[in-house]
Amino acid sequence: MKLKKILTLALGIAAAASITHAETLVIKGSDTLGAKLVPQLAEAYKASHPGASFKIAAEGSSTGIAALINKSCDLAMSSRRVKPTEVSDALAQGVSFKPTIVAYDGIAVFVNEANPVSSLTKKQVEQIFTGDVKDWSAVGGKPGPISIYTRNTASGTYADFAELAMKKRNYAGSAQKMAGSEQVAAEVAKNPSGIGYCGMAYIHIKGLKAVAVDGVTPSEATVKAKTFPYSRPTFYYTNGTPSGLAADFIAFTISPAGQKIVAQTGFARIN
Amino acid sequence: MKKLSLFMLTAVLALTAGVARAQDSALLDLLVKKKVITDQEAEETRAALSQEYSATSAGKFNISSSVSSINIYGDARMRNDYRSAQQVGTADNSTRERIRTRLRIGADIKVMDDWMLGVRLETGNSARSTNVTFSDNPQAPFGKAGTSTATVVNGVTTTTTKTGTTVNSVTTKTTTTSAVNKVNNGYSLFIGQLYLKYSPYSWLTLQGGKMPNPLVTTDMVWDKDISPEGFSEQFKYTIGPFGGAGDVTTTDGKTGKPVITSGEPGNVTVDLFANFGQFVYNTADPQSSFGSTADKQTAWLLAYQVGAKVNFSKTTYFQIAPTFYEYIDGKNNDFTTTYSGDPGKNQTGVNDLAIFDCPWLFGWTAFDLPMSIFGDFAYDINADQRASKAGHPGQTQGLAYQVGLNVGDLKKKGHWQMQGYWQRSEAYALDPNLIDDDTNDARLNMQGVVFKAGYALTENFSLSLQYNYGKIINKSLGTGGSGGAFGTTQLDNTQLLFLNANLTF
Repeated sequence: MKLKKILTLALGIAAAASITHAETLVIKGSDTLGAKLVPQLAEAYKASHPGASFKIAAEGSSTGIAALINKSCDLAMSSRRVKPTEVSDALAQGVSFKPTIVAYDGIAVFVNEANPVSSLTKKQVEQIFTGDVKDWSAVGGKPGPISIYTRNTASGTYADFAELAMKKRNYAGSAQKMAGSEQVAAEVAKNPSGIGYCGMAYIHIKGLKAVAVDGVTPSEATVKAKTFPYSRPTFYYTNGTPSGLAADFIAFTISPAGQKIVAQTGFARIN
Repeated sequence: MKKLSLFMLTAVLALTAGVARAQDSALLDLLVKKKVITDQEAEETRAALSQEYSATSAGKFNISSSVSSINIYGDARMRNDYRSAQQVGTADNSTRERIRTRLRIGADIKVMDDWMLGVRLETGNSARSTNVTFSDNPQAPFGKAGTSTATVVNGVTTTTTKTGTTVNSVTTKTTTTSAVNKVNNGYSLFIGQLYLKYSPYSWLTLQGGKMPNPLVTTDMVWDKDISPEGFSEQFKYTIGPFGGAGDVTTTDGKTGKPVITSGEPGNVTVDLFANFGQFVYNTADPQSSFGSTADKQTAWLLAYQVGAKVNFSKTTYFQIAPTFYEYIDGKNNDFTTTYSGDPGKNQTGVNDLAIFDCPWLFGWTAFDLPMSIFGDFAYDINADQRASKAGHPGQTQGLAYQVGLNVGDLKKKGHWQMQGYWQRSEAYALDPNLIDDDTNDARLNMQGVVFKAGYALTENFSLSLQYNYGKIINKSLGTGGSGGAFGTTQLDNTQLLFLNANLTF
């Protein structure tokens, strides 16, 4: 009889542990999504699903996609599309990417609020970030060297910006690479000669001024209409059609309630 | 959009996977813009296409995303190579006739937009030739490897005997003959070029490695098979257009006021360029040894070139590229041994070479054919010292020149080309290690004529021939040089005839 009780207790503990494990969603990837938006979505989701828990690591889109390939996460956040090499790696590991658009984003170019420059052309943005133009006087600013701040190479925004704004050219050798969008914003906010970029969710940080590009400023309207030149979708990637908590969380993200949070955190809603 | 339609769209686009992925993306964007499909459907289709593409043969080649383009190129050639030579003062002739082939295959790998890695593999292990001779290996018919015998000296015994006050020494060598493996290296593939190119601006190119010759030059000074090793800096800048009609000022008939009419812009432009090279001529290794062995220094060849190409029209131009070659002859370096050029003596030394060189070219089009006259002039300003150290004081012989005419090209099917030039290279005028080995048997103190003709059967396949006759200039001097087909013998004359079949890709 005693043995039966012990077995029952052990099975109960195992079942509880199993349920707890099933209700933990491991999310890795984009800092653009993972710094604010996804944690807030997770908090909102948990409010209505108390059993759910999340582990979120936002260290760049590449890290999330790599984690999905090696099956160390359930859901990858990415501010860019997967690369062909990643698709090949995934297939070799038996992983099939399934994208879900989470929100739209505009990669905002911003300067210190003390900088008189408030508008640049696409050509000027390319010239600045590639190092062809090194002084603010060349683009209508006060004479002085331009300090460039960018994301690091693991960032999807880093790759997207090179493609959207720089014709895939090299970043200037003097560009300083930051680990996250908040660090880029903080450096530019401190440095009157600084310029940087990140998702438009960060453009309301004190000390920053988003510049218009070809006369268009990043906003939900211009990004959704794709009139802002550096507009892009952001993604969740799963291994095949998601199920369980992952499917439920994705459904919440694209639901009206989830999209309300999308808008509140500075992104553009998908509908 | 219904699932069936989306499936059909995916299937249709998949047919073009690997061929038109960019177009697929543009098509999806257009369908989204026209509201035929949603963004989400477009992304799912993109993902499906990407996976389909990854499963194809082309998709399995994973090229780093930092590579923006790869250009693969090359050429193959079959050649009947006939050469003959006659010694000075005799009727003795030597001839060589060989069937030869070569392969060169290269890739220009552009990384992002500023950097390029250049690699070229080629047959032949000589700096001045990429040819492989058919059945050149005597050990095995049609073989790439075989065995031959080698004699190894195992020991030396010296026996000394004394007869009165005379001491006699007899040295005896103990040898062993054994079979050794021998490989026809000609059929190996060698790295003929391996270099990095950095072009941060349209006017600047920096290179390092074993590179294509960055200088404007001719066969008289540089064999075009040589890929120098070291560093180069190239600058270019175009000015113009010039030569327009200029503004025309007339008077308005009604108001009497002057009216300025802009003239037609000119079409004369000038491409200015400057090329500099720092080539490692021969590395001294080690530079300093243990013990009392004398220190050595690495020898360098420095090149300074400035020039201009004046474009009078799209087809008429004149180019000139004055160049100065300076040799930093490292102390105790193999190539700083005093040059002689006489038979059996040093043929490779670069002492007392400070060469002013000026290649030039004037091109135009007539009868729908590109034509050009070209030439080269070179003078070693230290030729006096070089002659003295060679044991021939007063025989300055420091001048070399070339002048010729070219008609046509082999760029397209049915095109033909003929070229002829005269070349005179005096004994102490040029670096004997760099001159073309297909003209005058890579020798100095020779002058002669070169004739080339070719016909393009297709855009990529042509037949050509080349003939050369060279004659000694000064019979009191050797016909020095290295890399020729007839050793260091003093030649009275040399002839060469090539028949080539060329395939380029």
